Amino acid sequence: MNPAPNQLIPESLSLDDGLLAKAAEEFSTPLYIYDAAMLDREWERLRLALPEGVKVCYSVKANPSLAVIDRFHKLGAGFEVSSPGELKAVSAVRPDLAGTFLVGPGKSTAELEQALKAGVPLIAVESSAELKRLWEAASKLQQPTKALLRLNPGRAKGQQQMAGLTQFGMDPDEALAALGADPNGAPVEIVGFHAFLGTRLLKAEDIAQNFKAVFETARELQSAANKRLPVLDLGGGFGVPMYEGEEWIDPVALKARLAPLFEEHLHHSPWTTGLMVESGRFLAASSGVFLTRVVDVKKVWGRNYVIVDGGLHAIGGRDPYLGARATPLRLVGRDSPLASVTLCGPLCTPADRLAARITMPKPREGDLIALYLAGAYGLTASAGLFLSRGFPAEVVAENGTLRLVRQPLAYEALLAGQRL
Amino acid sequence: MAALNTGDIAVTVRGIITSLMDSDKRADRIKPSSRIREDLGFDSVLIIDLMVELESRLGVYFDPYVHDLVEIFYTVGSLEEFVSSSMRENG
Repeated sequence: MNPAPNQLIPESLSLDDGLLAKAAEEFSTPLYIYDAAMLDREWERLRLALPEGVKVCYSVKANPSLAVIDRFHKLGAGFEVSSPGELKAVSAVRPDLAGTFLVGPGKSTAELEQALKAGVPLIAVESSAELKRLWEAASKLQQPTKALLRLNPGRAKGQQQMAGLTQFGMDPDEALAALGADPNGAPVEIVGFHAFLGTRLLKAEDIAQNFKAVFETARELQSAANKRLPVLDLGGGFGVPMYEGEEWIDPVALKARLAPLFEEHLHHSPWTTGLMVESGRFLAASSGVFLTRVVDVKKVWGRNYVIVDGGLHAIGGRDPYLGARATPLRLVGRDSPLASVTLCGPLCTPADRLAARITMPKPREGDLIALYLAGAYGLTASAGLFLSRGFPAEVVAENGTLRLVRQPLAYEALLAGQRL
Repeated sequence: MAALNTGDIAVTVRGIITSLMDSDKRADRIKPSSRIREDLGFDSVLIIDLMVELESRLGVYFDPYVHDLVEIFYTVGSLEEFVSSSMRENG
């Protein structure tokens, strides 16, 4: 028996089978559906876990759909963007880019100039060379901006042999040197630090340890440089349970664990008026359902295979285990005797596997299957161009109504921009 | 989880490897130098299945953001070494 961990499906999700069937009928499959009220709910749950006065930035990379960005904009979120495309998406929702900051290890001079021209108020700088490029760009354009230094404290969660050995940010020595370097009149003000140390963190203790490392490094650097910097972005990595044995973070327990760390830091550094955290997955994942229709059911060498129309190209980005670990999923709209089946998408690769040898009501051709926790790292993290399949549409569900918020990218459109 | 010695780890790891291979290759023909992909015929999907099975049976944890999975899953020996050192670290 290997059932899907459907206890992880959020109870308050309002996407019932009737609505899912209606969506599949109206918009065809594969399809992403987002429950708008669930976005609101996860925002509130994250806020519950944080002390007052801590700003929350939505990490656009988790789901860059304008409708989702707009929802978080209305809730008061800032935005963390890490590419020109994400910057453009936020501009479409919030043209003044208030509360937006740009991060990422590969910011070229052209990208920095584009960000400055667009009026990005805050840029997290990842290296000394990038800081110099930013100074040059800001001087050239006479466009002032504020900057954070992205830290790599080298003490990431897990303490395994490769902890902290990533391409991101500056080690404390380099950050100290950057704090003391002379911008030669460039209108760039370094106002604090940024760090992002972990992902998919499900234990309050792990999140707390990461934040503690950032707090400590920020204090040490300010002390060594004799500076008082008001902004500190602690990062995020608030996880979403997707597999058997994992559990949702309890926001109240998390707050209890984090509050003393925040208090201690503010006691020591009361000038820290700009505390921030980031979240993408926690805010967006649970609102999303991925809907796909069964195209074929077969038995090969004694094993049941169920082939659906939405596979690796449509939702593969979300699951590094290629279905080896079951994620929450259901047969929609009817019941049937349990069977062990392997769910696969339509691509010609064994990697196109949504669920391996899972126990579920046996589907038949034409059935709908819903995969849950699909609101983050779903569509845009998947290989839509692979096998020239294209990308699914996205629909928002609110108060029982459905509205299309992203048209599908059909395979015909993939020919655009090409020539012999 | 009860502590396993190196010998037990090797038996368990090779047993799982054999169970995932559909040919008749017996566990005692698998050597530390056997390359998981080239010699034992594992592809990416099978390696993920192997990883998940090891996590479930031995309580080790492979973190793609922290561990070099290509290096770890190179040979049976490199895999057994990672599993042993993980189990030593985590007690």
